[in-house]
Amino acid sequence: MTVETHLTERVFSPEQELASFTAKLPGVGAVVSFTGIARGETRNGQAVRSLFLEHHPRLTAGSLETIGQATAERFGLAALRIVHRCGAVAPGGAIVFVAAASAHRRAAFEATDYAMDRLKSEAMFWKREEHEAGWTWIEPTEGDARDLARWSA
Amino acid sequence: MRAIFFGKLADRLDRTVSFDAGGACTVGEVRALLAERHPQASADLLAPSLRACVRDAIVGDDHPVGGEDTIEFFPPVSGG
Repeated sequence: MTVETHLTERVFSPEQELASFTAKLPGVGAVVSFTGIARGETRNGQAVRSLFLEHHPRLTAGSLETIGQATAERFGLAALRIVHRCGAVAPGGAIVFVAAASAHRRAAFEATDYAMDRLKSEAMFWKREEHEAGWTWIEPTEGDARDLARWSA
Repeated sequence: MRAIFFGKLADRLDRTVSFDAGGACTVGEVRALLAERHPQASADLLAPSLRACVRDAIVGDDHPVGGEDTIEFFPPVSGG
């Protein structure tokens, strides 16, 4: 079981990440991936100029590793990769990438879903959106909490 | 003592605030002290969802602090 987590200030290519992840796994039966993309509009329909993800200099990388390890162990994965941006992300840019590999598809689908729910609620970032009127901090939603609670049921 | 703020709290206050804790000797007492001295951030400082971190470990309100300790304060996170 291989778990890779990367916190990066640089633009990354989800396509390249998926290709390099899959190339390391000859013979695996299932690979599922998810990419989170910075939207061009706020929830209120205002145009977003930029998204900024603040992180903690030491704890954010650790929070990704914790979530990655828990995900791989819970679903018995062959491999898992999480790539997460910090800093400024332009609309349309990739914020987060999760790829899970397993012998059969169910574990890979569920692991990717689970990892994203945990990242939304536990990964140590603080996001703000820049729009015409200034900056707005993004607050966690009840939907995020409900999504995470599914896995405890 | 020193407090470092993340997220929206760093907007309401400065990123780093140095202060004389007076008689405050737990994280909870420091939160109350800072809320009193910075009313513009009072609601956020006293919110149950605010987490405190000392030496890279999340701690509760009853955690003892003193001297030259640094407390980091984290509003609710929004990753992914």
